[in-house]
Amino acid sequence: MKLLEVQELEIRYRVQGNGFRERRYLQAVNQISFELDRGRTIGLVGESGCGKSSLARSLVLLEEPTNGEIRYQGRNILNMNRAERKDYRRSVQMIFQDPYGSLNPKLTVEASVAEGIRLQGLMTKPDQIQKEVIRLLEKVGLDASATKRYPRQFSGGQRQRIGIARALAVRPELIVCDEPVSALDVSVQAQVINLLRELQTDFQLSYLFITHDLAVVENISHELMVMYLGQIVEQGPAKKIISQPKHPYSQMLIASIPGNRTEADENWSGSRGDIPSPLNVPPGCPFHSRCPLAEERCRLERPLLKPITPRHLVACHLVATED
Amino acid sequence: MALLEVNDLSIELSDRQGTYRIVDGLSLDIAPGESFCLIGESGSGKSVTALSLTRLLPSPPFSYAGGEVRIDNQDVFGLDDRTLRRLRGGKVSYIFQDPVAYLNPVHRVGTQILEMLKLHRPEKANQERIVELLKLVEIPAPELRLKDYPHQMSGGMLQRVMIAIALASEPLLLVADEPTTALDVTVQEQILRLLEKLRRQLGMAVLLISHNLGVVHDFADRVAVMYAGQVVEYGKATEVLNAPQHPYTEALLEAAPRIGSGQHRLQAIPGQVPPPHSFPSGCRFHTRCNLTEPSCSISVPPLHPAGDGRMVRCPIRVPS
Repeated sequence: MKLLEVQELEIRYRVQGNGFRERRYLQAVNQISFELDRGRTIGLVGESGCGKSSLARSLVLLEEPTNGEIRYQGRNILNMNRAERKDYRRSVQMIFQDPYGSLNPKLTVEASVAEGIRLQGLMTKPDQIQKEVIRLLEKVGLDASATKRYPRQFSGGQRQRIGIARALAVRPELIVCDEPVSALDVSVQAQVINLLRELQTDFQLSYLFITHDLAVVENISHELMVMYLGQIVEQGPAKKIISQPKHPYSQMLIASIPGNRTEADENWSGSRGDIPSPLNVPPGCPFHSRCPLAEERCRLERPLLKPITPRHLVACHLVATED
Repeated sequence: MALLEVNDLSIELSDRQGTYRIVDGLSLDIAPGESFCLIGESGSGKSVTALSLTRLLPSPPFSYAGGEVRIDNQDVFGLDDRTLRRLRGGKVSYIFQDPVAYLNPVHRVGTQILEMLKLHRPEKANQERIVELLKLVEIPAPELRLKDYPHQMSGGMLQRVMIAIALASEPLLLVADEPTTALDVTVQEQILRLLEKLRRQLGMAVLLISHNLGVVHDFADRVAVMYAGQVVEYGKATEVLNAPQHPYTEALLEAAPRIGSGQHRLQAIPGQVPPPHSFPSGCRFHTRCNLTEPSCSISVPPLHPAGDGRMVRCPIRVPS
């Protein structure tokens, strides 16, 4: 059985219209399906406003999907009873982008890390909890001297480690990582990526790893989804998509990475246009307004995500199945 | 002759606990039309350096502790307030990371460009010039967009407006402090290409400040790598990035995940970037360096020439 199965997930927000009684909807997540096994990482890349955080939030029950199903170990998370829901909240944790905003400044590191253990009732004796907190801090590369200090006394990279310790405290199986290294300096970013990889091997953790940085995603992910305006445009093995992107948007993303331009790309015409507002998604293929290959059909008909090889899916009229 | 010359500039920051030297003995020069890059992690002193070029740092808490800045052969520290105001935004223009924070939300973008023209190029303060500037930064339908308010534009468009404002005075030097850090990768690429095009077309020099080595690789002719307030390596971009000599530059390049390199353990640099109040003695990188010798913690190594304009602050790699 898969650890996590997401089927045709849709998240729609109602937003204020211009006139009276006018209703407008923002389709943040449109028909997304994927699966995740134990001990694996699925990467999710896309630019701002593409819906990647909405998707992440729905997995940790911070957002209610409009349609679709999220199954965790075979059970639909949307109709769990209280006890099941509490256990689900334990087994799926989240790490956030901003290590400054995601820790309570008034709690000591020990109190922050111990909070989940207490709330979930995993341990009750204070000395037992304290020992566990120290064990967790050591696991993420901090030491016992950190326990009585406050978040402000730590650097960004160290705070991100505290955030990771806090997530690990309740022994999760899946961690949703929403841009966990984007706010960190390069020299520290590598430390945190390596730490996440080690923890994955040690605890058989699964990650949904959200980022806009394709080089980071390539380093950590087994599978990859490329998202554009709420839809998945390409999905499959990370290595394959990065070395041979099929969807014109994936190609544009990879060619835009600074430092990645080679001699052969010198006459590349470059990325074009801005991401349209998610309130105003173009009809047909959402990417047609920026696509260098767009044809009449792309403006009218929305391409479906279809396999070009059994595990590699692409949503583009112009990409043919590989035999 | 150099357009910008910085000689042995030092800047100090004071707070209740004491005074710290956050930029220490920095020297660099930029030729007219050149693209120069300052690379460094947060707290390395690169933004402070950029602001100090036109004395934009508030004093206190900052103070200039020595050295000289010359722009277009004028000594910036010797200028009176009036000349200094003409220099800021005149010969030297700035763009920053977050365009939203620098544009006035209640004025149309056209008005904000006009304001700059009135100040620095009053003879050209008219609608045609505004449209021309918006065209220069490749904003589609400029006649219509100049009536937009900032909230009606996307992040990439706003950064283009900021560039148009910066160009209004026809500067000799454009200082771009992390201009693409807040933007999406496809938009970042467009803005960098635009800056490159404008540099060639208008012949102005660009000082780009970035922590992103890829951006630097695509953009710069020459670079200076900063660590904890000091330049540790200086030279041609292709040479510094392809064959780094200072252990910090080398480690920084190793630590960045590179596209197409697959899954592997990254070579992280141990420890943290030191904050100004606890810069280590001797070589400031010695606590995190893998080459370190006992002498590294004793005396501050000088920047030593390594041929072809290259300077390296490491006595082990480049012995004097």
